[in-house]
Amino acid sequence: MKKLLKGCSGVLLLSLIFLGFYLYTAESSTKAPEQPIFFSHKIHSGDNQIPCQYCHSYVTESTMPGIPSMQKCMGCHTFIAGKDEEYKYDGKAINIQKEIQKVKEYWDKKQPISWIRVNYLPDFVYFTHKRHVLREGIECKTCHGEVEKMDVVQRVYRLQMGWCVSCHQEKAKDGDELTKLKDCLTCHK
Amino acid sequence: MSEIKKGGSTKPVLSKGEGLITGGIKRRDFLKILGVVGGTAAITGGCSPEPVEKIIPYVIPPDTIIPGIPKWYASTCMECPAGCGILVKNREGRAIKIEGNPLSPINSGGTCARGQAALQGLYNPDRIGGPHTRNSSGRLEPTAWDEAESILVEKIKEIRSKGNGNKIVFLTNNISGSLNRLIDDWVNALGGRHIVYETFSHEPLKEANRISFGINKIPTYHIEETKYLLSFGADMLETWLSPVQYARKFSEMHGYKNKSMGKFVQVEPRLSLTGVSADEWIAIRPGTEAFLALGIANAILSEGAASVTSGEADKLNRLVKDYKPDVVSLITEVPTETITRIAKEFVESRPSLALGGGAANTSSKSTETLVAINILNYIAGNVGDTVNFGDTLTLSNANSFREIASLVDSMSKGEVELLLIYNVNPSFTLPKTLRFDEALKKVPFVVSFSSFMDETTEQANLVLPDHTTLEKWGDYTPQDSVYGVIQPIMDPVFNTKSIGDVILSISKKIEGLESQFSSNTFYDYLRDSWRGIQTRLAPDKDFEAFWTDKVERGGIYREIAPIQVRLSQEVSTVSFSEPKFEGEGAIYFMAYPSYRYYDGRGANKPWLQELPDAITTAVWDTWVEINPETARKIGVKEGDFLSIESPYGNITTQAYIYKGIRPDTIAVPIGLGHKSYGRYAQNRGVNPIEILPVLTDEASGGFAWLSTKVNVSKTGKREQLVKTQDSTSQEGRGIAQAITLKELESGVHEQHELGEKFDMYPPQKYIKHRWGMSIDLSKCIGCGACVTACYAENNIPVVGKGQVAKRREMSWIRIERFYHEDNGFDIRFIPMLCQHCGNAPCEPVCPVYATYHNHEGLNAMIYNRCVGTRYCSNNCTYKVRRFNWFTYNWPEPLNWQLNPDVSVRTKGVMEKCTFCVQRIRFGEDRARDEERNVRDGEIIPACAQACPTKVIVFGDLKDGESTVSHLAKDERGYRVLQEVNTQPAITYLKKVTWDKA
Repeated sequence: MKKLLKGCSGVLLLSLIFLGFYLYTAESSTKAPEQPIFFSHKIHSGDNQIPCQYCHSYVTESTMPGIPSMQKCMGCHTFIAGKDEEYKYDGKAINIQKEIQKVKEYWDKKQPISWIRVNYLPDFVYFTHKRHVLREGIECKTCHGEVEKMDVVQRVYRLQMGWCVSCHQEKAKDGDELTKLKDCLTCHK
Repeated sequence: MSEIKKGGSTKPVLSKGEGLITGGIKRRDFLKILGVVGGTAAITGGCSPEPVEKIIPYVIPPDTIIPGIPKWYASTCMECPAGCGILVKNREGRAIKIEGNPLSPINSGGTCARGQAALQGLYNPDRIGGPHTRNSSGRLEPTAWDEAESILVEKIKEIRSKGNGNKIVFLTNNISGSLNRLIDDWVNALGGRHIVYETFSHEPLKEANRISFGINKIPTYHIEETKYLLSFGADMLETWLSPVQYARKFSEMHGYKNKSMGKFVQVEPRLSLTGVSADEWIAIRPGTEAFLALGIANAILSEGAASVTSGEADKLNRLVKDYKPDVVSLITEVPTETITRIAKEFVESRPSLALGGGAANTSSKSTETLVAINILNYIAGNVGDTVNFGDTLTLSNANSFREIASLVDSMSKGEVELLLIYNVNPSFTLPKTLRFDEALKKVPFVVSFSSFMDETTEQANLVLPDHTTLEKWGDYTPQDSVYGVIQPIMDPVFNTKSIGDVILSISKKIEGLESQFSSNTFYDYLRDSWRGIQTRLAPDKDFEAFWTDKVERGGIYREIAPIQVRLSQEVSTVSFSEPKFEGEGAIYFMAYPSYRYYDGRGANKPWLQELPDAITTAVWDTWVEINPETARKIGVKEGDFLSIESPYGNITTQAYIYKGIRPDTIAVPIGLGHKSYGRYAQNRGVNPIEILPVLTDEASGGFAWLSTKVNVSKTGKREQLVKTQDSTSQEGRGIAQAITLKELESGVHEQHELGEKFDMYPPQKYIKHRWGMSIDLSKCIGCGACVTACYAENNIPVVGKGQVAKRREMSWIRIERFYHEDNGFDIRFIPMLCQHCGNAPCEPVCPVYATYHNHEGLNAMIYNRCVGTRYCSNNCTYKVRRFNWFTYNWPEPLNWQLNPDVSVRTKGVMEKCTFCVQRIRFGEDRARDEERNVRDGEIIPACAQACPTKVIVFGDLKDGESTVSHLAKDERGYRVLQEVNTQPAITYLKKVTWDKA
């Protein structure tokens, strides 16, 4: 009997370790991906104070925020070539001017940049930026973190259902609104 | 929604020159990417449960597109000659949904199933990807546009150098408008001729009108104003002239309102889908319609009830004097009392209207029949009232079948050197006995502009595929009062080129034509052509403003009043006799146009193949309708393969036992039996046209569709006839209910208790809205437009014949049909969809809470919670839940049509009608943005929007003032199977019948 109990607790311990490891690695996948161009939100949004909506211009109009077009990039970078200096990031030295030169190359070839998606919602989720930003006045950083402090944007929140619902629960003014905000069809399409 | 729709731009989305995609990336690749500001899964991350996706921005953003927000563009549907106005929804550069344009006087917002399915023409995986030419080994092989065009130029030059310009023939369908003018002028300039071929061209109608009134045209009919409609075989709710227009007008006339409704009598040997909506079906002996019309006229004239001058009365009396009702009764097999009763009703219920035409009434004597029907209208005072010769159809311009036959003759004699074919498929639609294919082989060079590899195109020497209607500029004038604009909704999907552009471009290379056809593009030509229209109609306006306005609205819509016409002298010369029937068989053979496939052009669209035929509920195949009495005689059961033999051939197809057809008649729908035309159409069903004789209506030269007698025999082979509804009986359950007009007038009828019964559970709480629906069975004609619209809106997969046979079809809304035989033969339709029950049996049995009742009264279905136990479906009272037995695929590029606002479901998931929750969400969201409440009628589910007869009303049951709330309390209201206390959110309004319930 004792042996059996020992065995059981062994299995339990092992599974706990695995679970912990899984959660650890899963969480660690939020680290910033390597993008085709070293684009720093910190330089744009933090140092130069460009408002988020300057580039993500549909955020108050549409479900989608809008990813800036190459034309928008070139709107500034036709005139801004960047400093010819090394920028330290993640133990690497990056030449800003060279990075901007890459954008120009894309533009000359009339090719878009294939960014790696950082914040992800599955296809079955109905999420509208307009509703959250425009009507409810929720700040970008509530979901995206302090992007203006990140060189390469990384995921801050995993944007999973429990996380969405907890906020919906907090925001609800009364029971009726709670019912509405917790209704499955609010987000599931 | 209207405001957004009206915001149509004058420019095509993603048009060239906007610099969207230049260099580097291919257009198709770009479009692939573009759908995804939501993402293409590329690599699946190791530990992360989420796929790694790419986000690809625009290089230069098109100024008309905001990702996530739909744009609507007005255009004109070209799926049949009716030319309905449409609005097409564009999301991120792709057309994803077609709706009727509410401004168009033809369809007023409704569409038919074929119109909805035009998207599957656009995205058809079997479209011809680019120009093809026949190589030395006789195969069609891809080529470049420049190459292909220069082949045609050389050919034309060669023919002209021989002085054989008169041997050039351009064969098109009815394309009245700028393209028609271009082709006319162009082929005339070459010395050739332009022939307009329509499969259903109604020559007898024109000829009869010429004889009767001196007008060689097809008029429009004001069905909506009539109180009594008498139709001799006209399938006006299916394919006849302008089906959506007439369905709407019919619903205005026949729908119950304020204790009254019009009466509709249908005279035809086989009860058609149109006939099902009739209050009385007269199963006349084929070919004798003229005598019935004369008999009725005789009865009216002899009663002195005709509204004609005495001179005219004398003249007419001489014409009809031999056709006393009792004599007519013997010929037509219609009882004498019926004839005199109809005569009485026809003159007393004014205005009335008699219609004639359709395959059921096209014999070798149809012109005379239609003259008799014209007389009937004339003596009842309908001509110039409900018959409008002011506003005539351009279908009148089509050449007659006789002229087509003579073309085939000259082809076989080698008198045609170059045949250019556009939008017609004569190899399929002409009877085999005409030997079109043999004649085509005698034509040295055949050019097809078809976008699909149909039977005719397969034999062409050069294929120059045109854009589909949704990809090009153009215009179409279906009737005098409407000039419809066609504008591109998106960039072409394949390497196709507009036929107008091809003509203009090759004209530049042909001597003598450059100056006459100097426009650079067809778009320029079109605008020049509209400058002419503007000078005529609005000379004081600025052209740009005029043009922009018309493009936004979808065209010019005018009102043209009926003109007064008098009976012509020629009528007295008409003599009436019975038509002749070819063949020695005992049974009349009827090939009727299908409301799903029209003349066969719809067969390559899977939505139409899977839309169950309203009467048989059969899918994906052909059948032959046979009366139970005849079936018993030859020992036939449903599913037996019958061999149908005419002197011209033999077809074999499965039997459907149908009480709605005379024992001496059998009927086969037209549309299937293609030898090519893509994966969905090929080798499926049979083509009844193959066994028809080349027999024409003697006076007009129109094709005599009902002119054959056949022998029918059993082959011994039998298979399940694949259909969606086996039972024809309601088993006394009162699913589709009806009530007589008398009962409603007197107010003595059982009104249903619609209140909610005592319940153990606390009542459901609805916070702001409770969405509900009402469905008026007195208006439903069973056309299936709602079903196809639902497929389009909600990404419903097509499962194919094999799966339907296993009852695995996925439609969220279906038209159930029930037969009633207690008092004559009668069919009732009822659209059945999720009832969004207040007390839903599906909800408590779900073990994982994937389905539940929400605070707006929706029976919600959360797909990714669903584990596929199917308990909900077992417990559903209405059998409206559908289970995904497989993950169904949409072959590229059919998947481009998918609605991004609706999840695509996968294997193992239950699904069902959501009341178009995405539209509700959109409507509520907009109302919140504008800080107001949702307006009544603002949110319209796809089914209600498409419905040509406005059967379905959607709205908020919590708002006591909403239309749907009023209808929920209507005296005709009932809820299906309400005795089981499911408390449905859908109120059905009983069908109203004249005297039988």
